[in-house]
Amino acid sequence: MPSLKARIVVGSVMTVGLVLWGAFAKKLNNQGRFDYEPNVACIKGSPYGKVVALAMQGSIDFYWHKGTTHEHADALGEDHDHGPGGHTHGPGGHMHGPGGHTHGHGEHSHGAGGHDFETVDSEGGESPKQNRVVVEVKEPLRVRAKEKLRKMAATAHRRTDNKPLSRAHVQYIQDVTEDKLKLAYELDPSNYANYGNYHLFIATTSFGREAYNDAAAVKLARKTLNYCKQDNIDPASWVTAASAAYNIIYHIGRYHEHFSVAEAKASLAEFDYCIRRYNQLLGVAVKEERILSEIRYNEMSDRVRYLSMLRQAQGEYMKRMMSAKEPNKQ
Amino acid sequence: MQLYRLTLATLIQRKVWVVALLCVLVLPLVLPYLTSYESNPTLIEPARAQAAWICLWVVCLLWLLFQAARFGDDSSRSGMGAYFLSKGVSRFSQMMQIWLACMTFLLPLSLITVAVCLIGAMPGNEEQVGMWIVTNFQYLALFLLVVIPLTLVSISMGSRFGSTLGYLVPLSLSLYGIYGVGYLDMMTSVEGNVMIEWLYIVSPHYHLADLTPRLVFKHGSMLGSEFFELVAYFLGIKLVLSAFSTICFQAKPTL
Repeated sequence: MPSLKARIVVGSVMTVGLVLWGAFAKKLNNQGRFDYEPNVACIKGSPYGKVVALAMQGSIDFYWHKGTTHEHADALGEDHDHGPGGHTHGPGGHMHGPGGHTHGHGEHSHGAGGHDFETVDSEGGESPKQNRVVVEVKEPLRVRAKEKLRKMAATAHRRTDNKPLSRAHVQYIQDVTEDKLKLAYELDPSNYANYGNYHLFIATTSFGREAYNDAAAVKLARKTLNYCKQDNIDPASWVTAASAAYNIIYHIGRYHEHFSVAEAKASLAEFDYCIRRYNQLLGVAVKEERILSEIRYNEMSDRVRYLSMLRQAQGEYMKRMMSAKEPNKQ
Repeated sequence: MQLYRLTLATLIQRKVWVVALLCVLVLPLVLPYLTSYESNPTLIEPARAQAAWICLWVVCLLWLLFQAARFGDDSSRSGMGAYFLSKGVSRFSQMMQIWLACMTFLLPLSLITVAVCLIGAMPGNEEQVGMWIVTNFQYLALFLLVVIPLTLVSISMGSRFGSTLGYLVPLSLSLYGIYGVGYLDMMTSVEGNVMIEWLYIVSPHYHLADLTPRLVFKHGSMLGSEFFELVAYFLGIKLVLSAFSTICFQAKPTL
């Protein structure tokens, strides 16, 4: 049995510990320093987050296509479903035309990678289509074996029940997709595919958990713009910044009655600044041979060209809308 | 110090320390190359610091706590504790000797991590160098204040309840303190339950000792006063856990 002296010492240590723990727990809680959002291994927003965010594109694609992927459809030679409203394969992410007031999927154009849901291969490499092997030519065994395995994987996901999914089931899939998009965005907010897709889900009624929420969408755009503007190295971040800046321009154009002419002009100037910064950083990146993938280079260029076209049109639209109130509001 | 030497020799003999050492030394050098560093070379340094500290946390929580629990269990069950008691080595002294053997591995691993951050991830900007050094040592102090008492709990619970509980309880406590309380916080904001709010406040907020975001996002070092408040907070938890461990540790099984 421990001696009385030992018991007193242990009891005192325990008491002092409890007092310190309790007092500082209360103090830290009052200061709000206990508040935090768990970020496992600090991965969200970290360099590793960028890689995981890219890897998540496949998982998002899988849900978006209701349990199959482009690769599966290609392997089976099927014409795969591209979701409601059809799709165009232009660059630029989802964009709303100038002055448009609807949020239909028809206005949602798509990544240069030939994808209705933006998938970015920022690491470069060839697209699956370019990798495809024509089996008639006598290929080495390993190539044929790989193709066979790919086909087997595709058949495991082949849809044989052609009945459409119930509304609740479709909603569930959209909910999961939105959650995954949110996570992908949080992992790397500067990835233009992640931002564009997540913004689409918030800004539209056709997709995601809830009806469109323009206030949340513009908040996301402003947050993303501020985040991306801190990057002074990677031009891709400025493509995302330009994309967010365009979304803000669109928002101001749509609700022009709530904004002043100065705010409208500032939003256009912000976009132009993003494009200028993109060009500067791209020049440096090319010079320093940091752009290793031609696909990535073309994708960024296409997006910027498309965004610039939209900005021009939106600029004209805003000029018309704002000219009416310019004399008395500015 | 016979028990210390015996425990240390056993740890060295088990050779798993080589894996632990490689994890904290080699992974921070390799993992940053998984990032898109080609397009943005400035990612390497923060990624290295992040990998170094995360590896240290993983090694300590998965390996060190397990070893500590096992030594506590072995010492009590094998009769070694009873032998040392008969030789006049007190219960408390036995616990501290096993703990010291574990610390003999923890301290070098922690210092290697700091060295990796200071040598391999030092910011280029001269103004940030001082802050970077201070942040790393602040992180080291908080990290040790969290892991040291948890190791003690592993040893003492291992000796009384066996290595499984001796390992799982401190591990769960640490994971709960690092991530779990954050989810509890979300629950309190939704539910508004007073009991849950109190549970949240008295939980060990180990996430405060995780300064990895300060390194990855270059937040700079903590303000002195705020840092010492955290030290006092963790010191309080440390004293409670140490006193608990002293009560809980047993040198021979009670029948």
